[in-house]
Amino acid sequence: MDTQESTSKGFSPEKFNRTIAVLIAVVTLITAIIAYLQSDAAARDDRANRDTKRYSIEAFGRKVSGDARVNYDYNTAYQNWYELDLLADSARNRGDDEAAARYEALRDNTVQLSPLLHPPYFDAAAGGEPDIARYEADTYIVEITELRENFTAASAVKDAWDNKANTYIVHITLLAVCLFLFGLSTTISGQQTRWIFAGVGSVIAVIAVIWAVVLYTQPVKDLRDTGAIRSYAQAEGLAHQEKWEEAIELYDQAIAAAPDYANAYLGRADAAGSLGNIEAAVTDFEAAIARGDKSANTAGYLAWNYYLLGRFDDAIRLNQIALQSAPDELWIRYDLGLAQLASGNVDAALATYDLGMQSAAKQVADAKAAGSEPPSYLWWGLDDAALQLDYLMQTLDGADGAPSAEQIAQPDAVYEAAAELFTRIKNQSVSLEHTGEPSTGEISAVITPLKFAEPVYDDQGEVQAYNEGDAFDFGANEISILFDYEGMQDGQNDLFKVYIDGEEDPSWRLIAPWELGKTGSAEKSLSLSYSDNFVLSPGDYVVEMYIDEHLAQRGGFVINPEG
Amino acid sequence: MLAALITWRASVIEDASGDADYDGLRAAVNAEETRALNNVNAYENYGAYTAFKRYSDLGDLIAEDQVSAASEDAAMLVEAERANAHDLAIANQFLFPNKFLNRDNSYALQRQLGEMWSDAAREKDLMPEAKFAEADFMRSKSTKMMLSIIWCWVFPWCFIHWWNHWRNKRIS
Repeated sequence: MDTQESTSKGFSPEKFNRTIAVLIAVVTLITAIIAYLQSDAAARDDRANRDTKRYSIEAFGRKVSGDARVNYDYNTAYQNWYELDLLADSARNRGDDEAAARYEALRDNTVQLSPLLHPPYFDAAAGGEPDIARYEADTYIVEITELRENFTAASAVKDAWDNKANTYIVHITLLAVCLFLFGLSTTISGQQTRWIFAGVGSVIAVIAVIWAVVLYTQPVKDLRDTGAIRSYAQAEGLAHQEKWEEAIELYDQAIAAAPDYANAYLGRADAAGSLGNIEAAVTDFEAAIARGDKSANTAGYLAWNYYLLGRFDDAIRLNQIALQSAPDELWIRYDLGLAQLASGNVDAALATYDLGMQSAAKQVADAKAAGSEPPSYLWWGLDDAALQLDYLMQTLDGADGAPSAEQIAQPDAVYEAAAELFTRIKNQSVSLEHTGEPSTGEISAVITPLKFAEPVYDDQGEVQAYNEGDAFDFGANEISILFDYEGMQDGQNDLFKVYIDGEEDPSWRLIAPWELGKTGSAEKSLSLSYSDNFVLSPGDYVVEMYIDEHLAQRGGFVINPEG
Repeated sequence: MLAALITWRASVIEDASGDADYDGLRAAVNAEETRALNNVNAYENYGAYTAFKRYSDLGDLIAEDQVSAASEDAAMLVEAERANAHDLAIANQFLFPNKFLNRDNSYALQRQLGEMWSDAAREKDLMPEAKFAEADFMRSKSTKMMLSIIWCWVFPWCFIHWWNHWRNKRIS
């Protein structure tokens, strides 16, 4: 009786109830609007979801068919042309012009097998290698790049609309609670309690509405609408052909169309770095990271470019950031060690390289235990680590390089540590590859520095003399590796690895148990003398000799370019 | 209010389970793409190795026969055949990764396939089962939460009914 009858001036229970009825109607209308927005957002989410699946499946199909296509074009069609051309050359060299003509006729017929054997990819009259990179770009690289970027863009759109749809559900839930409180307030007799329920319901409604308005006004950007993806895909096609300047122009277009396009900055950074413009590469890597690229690879590449500029502290910082998300990425760990070494922090560098070698051993052991194989990046990481240490030592010895010798702190200590690490990494790499176990122990055998020579044969085909040297003219088809040895044992594993311009050519690996006794002189041959057409390719050769998976000696020679 | 909150959370978890299903499907597509590409490329390499081995073995066999050539002309012909065979072997040797040549000159095809799989696994998710299991778990959780809403409605009514019954009993 008392609360129902007590009325403040101008607000009787009837007026209160009418007001609440109006509020219920308004909130119901708002709820219906938000329900519509939620439904619309959910529909857009589903559409973007469908698009992602479609792009993903199309990219899969295009990649498989593109690979199969190019495999045929190069490995079968071009290979047929190449072999017939080879046979024609051999016949002509032997003076059999008729046979040469037959082979050339067959060869010229094969061009109809594939568009790869036609301009602009190949000039049959000039011979040489077809422009396979351009062919791949035109056949499928640009297309699948565009599909994959569309997939990523559609995924971002899907996530954005999904988030909106879910958040609208929160708003609807809050408005449902508000309606409940409004309804309840009309049934409660206590004046104060009635107002509390109505007040709380009103506050909840206002919060929900403001939140929904803010959410509605947030745009969902779709990269597919900007045209940037097409430019980016074409740029990637040019980058695949190593046409860096043209690629940069297209990356510029992509970035102009979509200033937050992280992948475009990344692509432009790669292209700039390939042109030697390290400062521009650094700027673009930083831009990619600022725009959301959190991958360890990007951080690692930026760190590498900082190292080349001599910004060792920045390189160390970025490598450490990269390792937080990818602790098993060997090349990043070794780059961290390299930056620490170059900055003069030798102890930290040694510890980092140790960790890297232990990680490599563990990855090999884990792979073997699981019946699988370690990734190729593991072997590349070990080779690259040794190569960069070698470059560092060459720079300290006076060669031009980045970073420059002046930028390297404590050069003597760094050189000594680099030499030790180089040998340990080489031993670890060979030991893990050939035995699956980390390198242990030392070798007692002594091998003299490797000498290189062209053998000179007499009429009976016996070696008459050796023309030693560091460089040999183009056309050499046999180089002998000469060395003295002592402390060897028959049965020890003997391995020679050959690197050409910094990269191993596994076709030159010589692996055999040692059979030449304890002490003496030996000759190993890198020979194509059995071939009528092939000679040693021009380049910087480095030969490494391993005994029982330990680096015993290393040396190099040069085959000069043709002409 | 409690029921409303539970409904909202159940809806969010159900949506997350859909996302996990999507990720699992994505991983399944990745795995099949990787398997298909690896087989296309590895067997192409194996085909090149087969050609290399054929020509290399042929050249070696011809070389063995060279010593028994009947005449100088015959020896020159045999030498030409041998050189052609070995040159064609070299030409095909460029078409496959030589690091997969074993010491006995056989080809480690399975090692190549294994390494290619490991390379792909570094860059993308190839294991859909974990995602599907996560999706199933979240769907189950969402279902249980929706069941609990029933209790949110049933329990208060049972309590009110019991309270009224007890109060009436006391009054009477």
